[in-house]
Amino acid sequence: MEILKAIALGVAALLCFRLFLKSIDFFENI
Amino acid sequence: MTTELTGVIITFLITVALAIPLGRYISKVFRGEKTWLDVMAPLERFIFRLCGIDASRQMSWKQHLVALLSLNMLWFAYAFVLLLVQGSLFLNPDGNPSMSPDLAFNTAISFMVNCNLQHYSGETGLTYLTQLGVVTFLQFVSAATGIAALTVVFNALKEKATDRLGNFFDIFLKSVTRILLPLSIVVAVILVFNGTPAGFEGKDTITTLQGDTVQVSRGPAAGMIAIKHIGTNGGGWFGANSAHPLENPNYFTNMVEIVAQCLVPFALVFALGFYLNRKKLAWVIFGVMTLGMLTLLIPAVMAETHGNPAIAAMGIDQRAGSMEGKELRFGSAASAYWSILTTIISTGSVNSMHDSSMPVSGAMQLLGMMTNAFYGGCGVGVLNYYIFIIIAAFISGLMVGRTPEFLGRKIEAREMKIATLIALLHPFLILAGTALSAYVFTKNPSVGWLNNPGYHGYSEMLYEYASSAANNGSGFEGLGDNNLFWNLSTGFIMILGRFLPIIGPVAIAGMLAKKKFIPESAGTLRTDTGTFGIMTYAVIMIIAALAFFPGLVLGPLAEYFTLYHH
Repeated sequence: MEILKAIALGVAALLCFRLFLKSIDFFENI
Repeated sequence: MTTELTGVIITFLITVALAIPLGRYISKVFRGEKTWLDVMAPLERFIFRLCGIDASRQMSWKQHLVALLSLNMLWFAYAFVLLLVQGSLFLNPDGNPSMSPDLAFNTAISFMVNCNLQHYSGETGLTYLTQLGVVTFLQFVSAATGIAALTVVFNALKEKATDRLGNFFDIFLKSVTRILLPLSIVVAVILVFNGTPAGFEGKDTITTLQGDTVQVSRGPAAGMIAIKHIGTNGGGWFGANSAHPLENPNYFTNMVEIVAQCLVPFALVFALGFYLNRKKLAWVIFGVMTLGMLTLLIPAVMAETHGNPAIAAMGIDQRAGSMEGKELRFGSAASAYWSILTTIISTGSVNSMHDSSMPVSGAMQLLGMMTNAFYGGCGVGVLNYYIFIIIAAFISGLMVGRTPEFLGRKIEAREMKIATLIALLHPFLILAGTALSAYVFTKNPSVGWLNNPGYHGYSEMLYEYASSAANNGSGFEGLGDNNLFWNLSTGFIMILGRFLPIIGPVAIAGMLAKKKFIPESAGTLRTDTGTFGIMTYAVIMIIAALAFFPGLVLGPLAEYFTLYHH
């Protein structure tokens, strides 16, 4: 259970980074 | 009391006196001029060769941001895994356990984003390996990330700027080897000679005056405490942070630590002036930031030094000021000064318990984090202020019928949209988070987070989100925050509050740099004057007041009126 929680949180953080990378293009084309 | 206030003034003046030459030195480092720390060049070249990096390759603003985000992502993964398994690894003489997934998530993000929000206590929550290998490591690299992002903006603000804005890895590594590391060594040596531990033994057993035996935590703390302040990080080795007698042994180390945390943020403002050869602009910016600091500091010092009327009503002498939660060796004035500077600068270390501050001081600490543009953290303080310059230049240009521009580049709709989004993101993160926590608490009072219900309890929740969004890291620690709700909510707020306010200003500066440079003429709106400085100050305060006044009324202001007028 703890391992699943850790994996979920790790994935959530990595998704945040994906959002930030996408925001670079968003700001350029705003 | 006069002595205490004199101590505060002298501390501030020492910081300014050291920051000016440091600013000149920082500009020389990033302009590639000869400095006495060119001895670090062979080490830097070795690291670049090892990593396969061509440090001479010029990057665009987008490439800089991709490099910054990629590195931070790697560091998060490294820190997260290490914290999850620390209990099974070496350098753990006290046998401290591994972290739970939500606490490891919160802690890894917290140190990666230079916040250093600690929902654990250092003595029992981390091992020496993670204190050094995760926390201290991230304290260096997160500060260097901020300085590197700001240097990219410096390059973009140059007159002849294009889309070749330096090399991120070169700037980043030099921030560590030539700025953060040397300064940290100096501070660490001073701390060691004043009694801060720096060895690897486990807890020490001492016998107290009344005959009990007590276990006192030790460890290689001095180096971490140095970079904690130099890098505007704030995360302490010990749970009591710089209120702990081993982390901050005496008034002299208190002065050293407060100078250390203010030094790089002050110096970066002067570095802007030296780097761009616009010293007047740097002084205007520094003047506005100092005015903002004084706006918050003076009420806080007055509130703390005048004592607590509720305690005075019990017949307890308040001539030393309000001493609840404070250390006798520092006094109320120095504690108030630290509490305001640390919340303005986003360090977030504490030498007194902010939860015990007078309501007015608490409100000023909150405002310091809510404005988040006076001095600020390593690099990001000036980046936040840059957003307000863009907004102020735009409004001023409209008011006087001149083209809004900054340093020869026209500010147009795209830049304004980004600046407005970034300026509004900060209040959104704080207020949405506080509303959510207030709702959850109201629906489930049994969650047990709040030791102080009512106005102060609300302030505790507001402070936690303001601290997370501003990447400060201090807290009103009456809040029980090591649980799933707070670990996750503040974790997401911290990461959003860190990277979007870096991406925005770098994007604006990068896009402005590609525009045609318009030389100054009689029709140019000057941005290096006192008038424009006052305008920027007004923009910051109006946005903060409009966004946060209702929240402050529900918390610290209501508490103030209850205390003084019941």
